Amino acid sequence: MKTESLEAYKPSENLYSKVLTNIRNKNVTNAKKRASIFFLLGILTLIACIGWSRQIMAEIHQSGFYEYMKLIFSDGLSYWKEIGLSLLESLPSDIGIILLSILFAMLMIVRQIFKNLNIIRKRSLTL
Amino acid sequence: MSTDQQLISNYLSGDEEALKELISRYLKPVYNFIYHLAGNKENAEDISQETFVKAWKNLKKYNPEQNFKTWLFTIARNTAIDWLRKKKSLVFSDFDSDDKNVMESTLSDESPQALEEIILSEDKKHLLEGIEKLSPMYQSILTLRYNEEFTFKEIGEILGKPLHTVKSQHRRALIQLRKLLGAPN
Repeated sequence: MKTESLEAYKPSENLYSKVLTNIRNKNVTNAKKRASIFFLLGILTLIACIGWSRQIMAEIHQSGFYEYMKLIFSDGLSYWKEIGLSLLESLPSDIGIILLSILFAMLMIVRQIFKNLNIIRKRSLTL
Repeated sequence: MSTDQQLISNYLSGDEEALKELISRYLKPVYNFIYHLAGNKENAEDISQETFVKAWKNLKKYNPEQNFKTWLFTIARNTAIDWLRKKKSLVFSDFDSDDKNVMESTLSDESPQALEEIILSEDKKHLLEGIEKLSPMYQSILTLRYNEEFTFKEIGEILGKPLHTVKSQHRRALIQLRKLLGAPN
């Protein structure tokens, strides 16, 4: 049963737009906060990335990686299998994994920054 | 027409229009329900806005197995109580009064016919005046039952009360309304 009389209490015509504006404002505020946090995280990962890159370069120098590279270009064609394996072994794998992980995290952070900037720019309702 | 669950799922997948549709669908019923608790239009509109913002914030946590309408009205009820508590304009003895007569709870569901009889015999204005004289709790129960067509079980979930309490308070609300309207028993 629908009681027509009880439905007499009607909201203002602009209540719907007020609700949407309210949600939009909250979404933009949240997006600004998230973007700031991700921006800070981005800077931290960039610093980490630079640090680990230097470390990896130093280790590559020590491991003789460049010498094996030179060998490939000089007479590598005859012993390419042996030199290739030595080249792989000379790579500092643990630091490499850490660096790749940091790069991946950076990509994710940049993605989040752009996503939130998009919400702010469009004043979007989407989460 | 899309179901509530479909709209929520679409919105969470990035469809902005789905949220608009959902708000549009429930704005009036939620406002009506809150109006009976708040007692005036301004408060009801403020609480309605807050209700929808809260619902939007928690949409990711919404369990699709739960009835969305019941979930939304529960948020509306809690928001209204918090809001009115802050403003200290809610008489909690009225709203939270628990059932004292458990015997009544064993009675069967009151048929909608009871209110229908009153509606047929009284004009709209008279009925609204009568409802406004009821306590906020009674007003809520009648609104949820006859305006929103919730079951007693769902009303219990929304108001956080056991089924027998809802049934007996519903019965009392009708009796009180009859008295206020001067309708025969």
